[in-house]
Amino acid sequence: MTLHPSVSDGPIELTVEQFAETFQALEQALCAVVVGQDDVVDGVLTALFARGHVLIEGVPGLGKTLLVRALARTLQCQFKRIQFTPDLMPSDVTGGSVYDTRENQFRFVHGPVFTQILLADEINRAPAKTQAALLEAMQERQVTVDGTAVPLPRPFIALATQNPIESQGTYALPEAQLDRFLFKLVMRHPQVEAEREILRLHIAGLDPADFGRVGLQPMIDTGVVVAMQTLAATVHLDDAVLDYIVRIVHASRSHRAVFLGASPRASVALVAAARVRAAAEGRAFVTPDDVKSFAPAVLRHRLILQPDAELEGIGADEVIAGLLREVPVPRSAG
Amino acid sequence: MTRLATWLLVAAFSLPGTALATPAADPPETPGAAARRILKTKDFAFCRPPHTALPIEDGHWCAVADRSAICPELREMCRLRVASALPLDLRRSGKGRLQGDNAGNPEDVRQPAADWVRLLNHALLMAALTVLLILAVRWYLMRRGRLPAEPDTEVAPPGPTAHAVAPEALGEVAQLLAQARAAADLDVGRAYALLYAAALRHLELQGILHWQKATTNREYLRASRQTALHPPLVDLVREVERHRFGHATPQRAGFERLLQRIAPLLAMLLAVLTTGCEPAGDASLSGRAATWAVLRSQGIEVSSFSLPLAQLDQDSPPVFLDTGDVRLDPALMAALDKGVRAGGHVLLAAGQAQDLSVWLPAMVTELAADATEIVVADVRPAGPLEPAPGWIARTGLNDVRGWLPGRRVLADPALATGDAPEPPVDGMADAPTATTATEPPEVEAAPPQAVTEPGEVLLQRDGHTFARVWHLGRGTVVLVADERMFANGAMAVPGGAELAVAVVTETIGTAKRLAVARIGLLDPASSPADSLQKAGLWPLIVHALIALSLYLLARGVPFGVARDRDLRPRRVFAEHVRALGQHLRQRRASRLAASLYASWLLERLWQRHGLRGSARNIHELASVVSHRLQRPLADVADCLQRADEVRTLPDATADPAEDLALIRELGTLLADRPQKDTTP
Repeated sequence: MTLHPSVSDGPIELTVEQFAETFQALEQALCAVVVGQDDVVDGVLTALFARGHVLIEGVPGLGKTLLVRALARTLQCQFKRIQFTPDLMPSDVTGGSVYDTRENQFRFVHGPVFTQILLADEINRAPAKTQAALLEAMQERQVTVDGTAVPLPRPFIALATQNPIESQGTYALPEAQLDRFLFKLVMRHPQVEAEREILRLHIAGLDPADFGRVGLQPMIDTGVVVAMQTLAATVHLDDAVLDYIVRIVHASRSHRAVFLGASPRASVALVAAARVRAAAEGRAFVTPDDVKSFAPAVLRHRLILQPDAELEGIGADEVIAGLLREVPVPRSAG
Repeated sequence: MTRLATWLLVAAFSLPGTALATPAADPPETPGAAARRILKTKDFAFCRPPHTALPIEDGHWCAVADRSAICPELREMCRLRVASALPLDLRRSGKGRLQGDNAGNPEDVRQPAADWVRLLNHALLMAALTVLLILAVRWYLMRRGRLPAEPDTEVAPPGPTAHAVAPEALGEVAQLLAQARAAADLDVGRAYALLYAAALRHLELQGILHWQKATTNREYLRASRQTALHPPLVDLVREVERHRFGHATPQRAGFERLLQRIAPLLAMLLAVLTTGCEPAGDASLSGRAATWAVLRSQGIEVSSFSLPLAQLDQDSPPVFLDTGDVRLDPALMAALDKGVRAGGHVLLAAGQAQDLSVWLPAMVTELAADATEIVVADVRPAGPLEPAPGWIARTGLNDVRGWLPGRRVLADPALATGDAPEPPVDGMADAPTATTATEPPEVEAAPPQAVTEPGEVLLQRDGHTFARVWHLGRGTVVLVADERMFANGAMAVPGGAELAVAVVTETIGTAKRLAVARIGLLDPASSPADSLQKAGLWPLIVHALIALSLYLLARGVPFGVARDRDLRPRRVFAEHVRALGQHLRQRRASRLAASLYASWLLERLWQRHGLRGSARNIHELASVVSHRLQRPLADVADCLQRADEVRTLPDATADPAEDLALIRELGTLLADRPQKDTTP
C-alpha cells in the first residue's frame, strides 16, 4: 500500500451534521468490536480528529491492540505496531540510512513510524533516547534523518501504551514528554456483561486479522478523516468558554496538592478536544460541558503532585475532580 | 394590532399559569348558605351519616346539637357518644376546663396519662437520641479523612417531593416565569435564560438538583431525567446554549412553544405545593376548616401567617391570632402590643383565660366608667377562675344559643368612623333564628370618646360583651371572649356563620384578607441559642455533650487533626528522600533507602503526635498510632521496631523485597485516620 503523505482526492467539505453522523457511526462500530471500553473509544476518536496523540494506560489483555487495528480498518488507514523493549534503538523507530550495494549509495529505509496509525506498545520499556525519537516524530510530524526532514503521512496518530503495574525494567516517561500526548486514557477491566459480550464475539469468530467475520467494514477514508479534522478546527469557541478553559488550567497550578500544574499546551489540548466533542454532537459551537467532559483526560498526565499528596494516596483524578467542582461554569446571560 | 393581540394572548395565558395563593372568589352566597354547603361536604364527618360516636373532647358541642339545623346528625352523634380513646392533647384542647361548665352536661373527661408514664417516655426518647448522636459522631470520626472522592457518576435523582415550601420561594419561580414572559418582547435570549432559571429553581425547590456554580447544563439535565420537565428542558437547554455560546439569534416562536410546554408544568406543581401553605384547618367540630371556607366564600382571602408579632405593621395583613392552649406571657403581650400599635390589626381568639393587663390598665384609665363592666360584668368566667382586673375568661357555650343573625354592632358608629350606621349585611336576615331568644342583641351606647381611645363593644348580649374592638396606636385589636364562635361547630349553629363573618369583617375592614396564626409559630427564635431555649432542648444538648465527652475520654482519642509542624522543611526533606529513594532503588540500594525513609517517618510521627523528651520512644509512639489508626498494638510496634533497627543499622544485609515491604508498611502509618483494609 502506498503511503499518502497528502490527501490525494482533494479537499472534502463537510457539515457539522455530517461530522456528527460519521463520528457516531464510527464510535458505534468500534464499540461493537471493542466491548466495554466506550470511554476509551470515544477518547481515541476525539484525539484522532483533534490531531492529537493518546497515551493509554492499562494492564495487558484489555484490547488495546484490537482497538487500534479496528480503528485502522474502519478508517482504511495503514497501521503499524512497535513493541518497545529496553534494547530498542531510535533507528528502529524512525528508520535510517542503509547502504545499498547495488546502487552504491545510502538509501533511507522508513521505520515503522511512517504509518498513519501507530501503536507504540509499552513505551515506558524503551530507554529515553528511543522515546525521544518517537516523541519528536509525534510533535513535529516528521523525522529528521541525516539532516533531511521526511514528513509523516496524513493523518497520523500515535497511540502509546504503558503498563501501570510493572516497575522493574521500565523507564518512566519524563513529565515534559508526557505533555505531548493530548489525552491519557485509562483502560480498565470490563464489566461482567461486557466480558460476556467479548466472549460471544470470540466465539463468533473475531479475528483481528480479519474483521470481516464480525462485520467491521471500512467506513471512511483518509480524505474524510482530514476533512473532519479541518472542520473540527473551525468550531466556534465563545470567549466565556475560553475563559473557562483558562481558569481550569490556571486552577491546576494553584491547587494545594499540585507541585507542577498544567502548561498552556493543556489549554490548547482542551480547546481542540472540546471542539471535536461539539462537532460530534452536531453543534457548531463549544459549550462548557464539552470542556468539562475532557478535562480529566487532558490534565491527568500533566499534573505533578506534591510528594505528600502522593504519599497519602491522592491521585491526579481526584485533584482534577476537586478543581472542576470549584471553577464556576459560565452561565447564560442574566 | 399584532402587538396588542400578542399581549392579549400572553395575558390570557399568564393568568392560569401564575398560581400563587388561591385568590378569593367573589361572594356569591350568604354566610349561612355557604356554611350549609361547606359542612355538607365529605370533609366534615360530624355533619353527614353514617353516624359515629362523638369524641369526648367534643362533647361540649352537644349543648348546641339540637340547635343545629345544618347538621342534624350531630344530635345522633351526641346520643351515641362514648368515651373516646383519643388523648385529649390530640385535639385542640381546653375541653378539660369545661368541668363545671354550665352547659349542663358534665363529662367524663379522660384523665391525662400518669406522670410516670410521661417521664418514662421522655427518658426513653432522650436516651435513644443520645445514643444516635454518639453513634453518628463516632462514625464521622472514624470515617473522616482525606480529600473527598466523589466520582462523577450518574446517580438516580430522587423523586419529586411535595414537601412544605416557603411561599416566598414559590414566588420566585412565578416571578421568573413572569419576567420571562415580559422579556420575550424585547430580548428573546434573556427570556430563554429566565425561563431556564425558573425551571432550575423549580427543580431545586423539589430537591431534585442543587444549584452549584460548577455544575454544567448537561449535569442538570441528567439530574432531571426522571421528571416530567426533562423533555422540554432538553430543548430549552439547547436553545439557551445556541444563543449563549453559539451566538445564534433566538426565535420568539420557539420561546413561546417552550413556554407553553414548561409553564404549565411549573404552575401545576406550584398549585399543588401552595395548597399546603394555606391553612386547611381541622375538620373536626372544634376545628376551623369550615370557618375558613365560609370566609373565603365571602371574598376574604385566608392564608397562613408566620412572622414575629413585633414586626406587624400597617402593611401586614390582618391577623387571626389563635392562642389555642397557650397563655400569652408578658413578652408575647409586649410584642403583640408593639405590633398592633405599629399598625397591625389583630383578632385575638383566646382559647383560655388570658392576662391582658398590658392593655386593659391603660384602657381602664381611659374608659373609666367602662372598666368595671368590661372586667367584671361583661364577661362571665367559665370555671373556677376568679374574675380579676385584666382577665377575659371563657364564657359558657350556651350563650351561643340565642345569638341572632344580625347586625354588626358597634357601641356607637359615630365614634368609630363618624359614618352612619351600616345596614345589616345582605342575606343575614334570611338565616334561621334561634327559638329561645326573641330580642336582638342590645347595642350599648358607649360614652363619647376619642376615636382611637375607647374600646367599642362589638358583640354583646344580655349585658354581656363577647367581643370588643380597641384602637391602639395605629392598629386595631378585636378581642373575642370565646374562640369557639370560629369553630366548625359554630358554623352549624344558626347565625354562627354570620357572626363569624361579621366579627372578622370588623377586624379586616376593607383589606379582604386574613392571615391565620397560631401563637406557637409567631415568635421565631432570634438566634440558635434562643431556638434551643424556646424548644427546651438545652438539657438534651448538654446531656449529649457530656455523653460524648465521656466516650471520647474513654477512647483516649485527642481532639483535632494531627498536623505536621514545620511543614516547609518537611516537604523539602520528603522530596529529597523521594528523589534519593528512586535513585537508590534503581541501584538496588534498598537498605539505604529504607533507612532514610524510616528515619524521616519516625521523626515525622513523633512530631505529629507531640511526643517529646522521655515520651520519644518506639513504645509510646506505637501506642498512640495504634489507638489512632485502630490497628493492633503488636503489629504497629513490630513495624516501628523494625524501622528503628533499619534506621540505626543501615549496613546490615539487605533484602530488597523486605525493605520495600517495610517502606510500604511504614507508609500506611502516615494515615491520619483508620483505613479500610482493601487487600483481597
